[in-house]
Amino acid sequence: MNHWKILEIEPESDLKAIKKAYAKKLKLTKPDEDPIGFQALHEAYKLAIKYAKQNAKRYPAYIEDEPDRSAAHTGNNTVGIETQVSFVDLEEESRSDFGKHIDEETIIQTPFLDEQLFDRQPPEHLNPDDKDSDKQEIGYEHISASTINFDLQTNEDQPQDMLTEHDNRQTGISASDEQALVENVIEHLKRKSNINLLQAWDQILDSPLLYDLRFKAWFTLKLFELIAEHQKSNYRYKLNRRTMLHLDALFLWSRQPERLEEYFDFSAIEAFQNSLRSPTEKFLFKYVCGRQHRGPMEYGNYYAKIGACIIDVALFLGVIYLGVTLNRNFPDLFTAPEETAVFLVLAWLFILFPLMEASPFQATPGKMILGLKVVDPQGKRLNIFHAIVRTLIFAASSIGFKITVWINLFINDGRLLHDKLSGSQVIKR
Amino acid sequence: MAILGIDLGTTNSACSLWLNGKPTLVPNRLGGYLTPSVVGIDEEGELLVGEIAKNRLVSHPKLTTSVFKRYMGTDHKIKLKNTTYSAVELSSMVLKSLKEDAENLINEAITEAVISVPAYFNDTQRKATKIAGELAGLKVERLINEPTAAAMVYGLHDKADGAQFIILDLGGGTFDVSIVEYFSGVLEVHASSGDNHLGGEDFLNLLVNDFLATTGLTKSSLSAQEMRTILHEVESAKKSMSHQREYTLDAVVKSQSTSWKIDRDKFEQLSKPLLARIQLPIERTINDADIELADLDEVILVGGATRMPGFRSLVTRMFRRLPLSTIDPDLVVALGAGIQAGLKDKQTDLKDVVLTDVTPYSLGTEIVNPSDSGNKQGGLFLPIIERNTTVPVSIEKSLCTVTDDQTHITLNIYQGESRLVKNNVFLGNLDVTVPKNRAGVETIDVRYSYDMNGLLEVDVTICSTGKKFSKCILNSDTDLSEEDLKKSRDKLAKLKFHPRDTESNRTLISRADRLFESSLGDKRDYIGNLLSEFERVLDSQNAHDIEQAAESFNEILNQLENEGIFL
Repeated sequence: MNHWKILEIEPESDLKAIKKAYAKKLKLTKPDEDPIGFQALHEAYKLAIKYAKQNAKRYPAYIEDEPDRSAAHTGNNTVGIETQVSFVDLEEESRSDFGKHIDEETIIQTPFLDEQLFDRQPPEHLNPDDKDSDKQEIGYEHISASTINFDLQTNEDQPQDMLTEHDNRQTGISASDEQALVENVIEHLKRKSNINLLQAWDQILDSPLLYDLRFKAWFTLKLFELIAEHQKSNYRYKLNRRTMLHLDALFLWSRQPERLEEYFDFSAIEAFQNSLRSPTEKFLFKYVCGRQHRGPMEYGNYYAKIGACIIDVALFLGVIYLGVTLNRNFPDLFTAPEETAVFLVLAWLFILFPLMEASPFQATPGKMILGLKVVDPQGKRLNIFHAIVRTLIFAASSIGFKITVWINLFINDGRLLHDKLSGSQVIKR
Repeated sequence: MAILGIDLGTTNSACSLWLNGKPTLVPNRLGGYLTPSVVGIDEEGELLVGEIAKNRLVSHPKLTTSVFKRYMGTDHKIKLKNTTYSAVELSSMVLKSLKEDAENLINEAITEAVISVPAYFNDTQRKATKIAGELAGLKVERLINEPTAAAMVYGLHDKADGAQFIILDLGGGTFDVSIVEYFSGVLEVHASSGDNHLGGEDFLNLLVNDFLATTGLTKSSLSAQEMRTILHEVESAKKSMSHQREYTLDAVVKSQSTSWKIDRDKFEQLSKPLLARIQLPIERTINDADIELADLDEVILVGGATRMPGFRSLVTRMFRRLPLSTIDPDLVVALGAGIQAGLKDKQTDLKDVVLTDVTPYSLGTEIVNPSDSGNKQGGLFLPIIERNTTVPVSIEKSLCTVTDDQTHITLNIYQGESRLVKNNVFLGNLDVTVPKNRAGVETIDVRYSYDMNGLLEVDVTICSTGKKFSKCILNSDTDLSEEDLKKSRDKLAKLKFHPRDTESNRTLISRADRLFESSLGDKRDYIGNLLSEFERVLDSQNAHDIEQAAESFNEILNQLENEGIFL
């Protein structure tokens, strides 16, 4: 059933109409009396709200009935629609938006400020110096002082004086402080080796400015931008996972992916997510594979396999040659060089190959070099017995190689005869 | 039949009833609305709850206990005079005392209640609260989230249509944040978050530690009684911070006079780490509610600890506006619980009010982690009900076997937000048997149902056989069986409340005892004399004399407390 039908309103109604309809229906399906009906109703309501909000974003004119908010809304939304705004744009847009907000409030609220000073302080305290210094502070001071005045009318039991006093102590918060904070970060990012010092980050970010949620919302994006840029342009001194986790705990980037997507391109967000991912998925040695193959399994190329085989045989012959030479020089190890050769062949075939294929390398040296690995049909690593059976079958089929080569050419489906017989396969890493 | 709305707090509790179309606070036996959540046992083995027990914390620390709400849902035991009690049992004593107060007010028996819990309370803690209610002889009709209860009061009070507000509830032991919208009689909670171990008590501990550090005392060198005296004195210093700039505490410890000074700047400096923890849940809630800051109409403060100047100025700076607390922050939750009780009772005045709340946590199950070599990470967490989903809700997901010939699936149930289950809270497990088959062929449907009280039920259906398993989640550690419940009930039945009529006089004595303990010299002798005089009058059993003596005694004690009891 269509969610508009559940709410019993015309499709594409506005937010107000949706809420009204929902409230009306809700009184007939109360959550504690009809949980199932309620769940359906609430889902319909959420979908309708989502749709209406998107609509409002697309056509900002629809939300004109809320004049005080629409300014901020449209400012943000146009940014959202133009999708990937460049870094410079973001800065200007949010910055100006942010600044504007303060200005508006300051202008509206300033008249109260004087009133309040006259009301609350006996004349002798009202010396002109104090007043001047008050006026020079921008934004934050004016707002907090004037809202205190507003609040006085409604609430008597609140301890008022301490708030005024407190906020007056925080003098000198200004646009230049905000700029300084950003510059501190930029400066720190240039510091190469100290870049991952958590104490240094804490010191920079321990700023009273970040108490302000509006400023922090802006700064959260700004810092993300700075870091994304840094990580992209800098190869040697990157922020490590620990630092990123620390900063993420402060700025909650990972909890607001939609917001980030609104301002940044996908590669920046992906790079950020990768930097948070736990490192256990990466391996120290690049030839080591995970216990199970991830992603699609692609059979190794026929010629690559032959090449791998040739490399293995060459290595194999080299070792036999070395062994035999050694045997000549130290005759008491084995009675005859032939015996050494046989011993080495057996050791190589039945111990070393299976061991290597069942190890985390999952390949013989030749396969490793050519980017192949051996897995079972589920993409998992072979166990040692499976690997021994595989090598035995391989040995048997290479004894009759004149026949098996032809068989292999005819069943050219990516798996060779011994792969099929042993229930394993050679795939690309 | 009235339903009682109860705010069971960490430090103070209160309750209210829906009477004559509005929530009415119930006065306790001393005439106040706030009953300290302190429980004690006196020398005769009688049960003491409230103000009197709070006073005895100083004089009889071994027979009295407080702040036990912190242990709800754990198996921590508290010893009082040879018997151990769980937090649930102690809470039930407070509930029982509130229940008696209410019964006394309306002269009829009360058997049903709505109890408020912190929004960020988990499933186990909610269950424990429910059991506490049952032990006190109250059928718990509904558990309501504390910020939601406060929102009901403000929402119904202001009747502003379409108003959105953020509620910050800093109580004695917990911190909750909720974003709420009120429109056309619907009170909708958009998102909720919090910190279960952050409250006024933590700020108090900071101050106590600073006091000990400054005066060179150590916790281990102090007796329980001395520690209590210090706690009491520091608490009054903390309370004074909300109306004066600085405070000098001259306490008598180990028969020596010590002095400690605190002012607002220092307090704020000390509480910086705690204040930082306050910011995080607020930001998380705003993110989750997907709301513009400019759209918030009001910032509302709830809970006694929000009176702290440091907290207020932080909130002011965060939102760039002064927060609102027009209704007493200590009592607003109890009023809200009373409204919910009225709702539950289908009172006609509230016919058109509907409340919808959300789940504060994600709830899910453990799944196999294929990339985990060496078992370092443990299983992955698959959320089934995402956090901040409107409740009641019921969601189903399918899971399948991972190995060939698997016959058992252990469904581990977790709550939390981490990708790895080891960082989330384990709630319980459910063992199901499935027919043998190849890996991935056998599937089970897992259904999580979360009801309005914030309690979770898990149902599993095996698709091939249609067999059903189900479990109501109870943490195995604190799972109380019928037998355990009966045992608790018997244990509590043995305890008798002290007779109501003498309670106010006994409170006076306990207060004088406390003053006596914490003063020195002449003052001490003076209080001692007053005490024995008062006790003599009490023994005479002349009602008129007792009343007069109590009045003057109370006055003198007030005076002593106000002027500072120390010479």
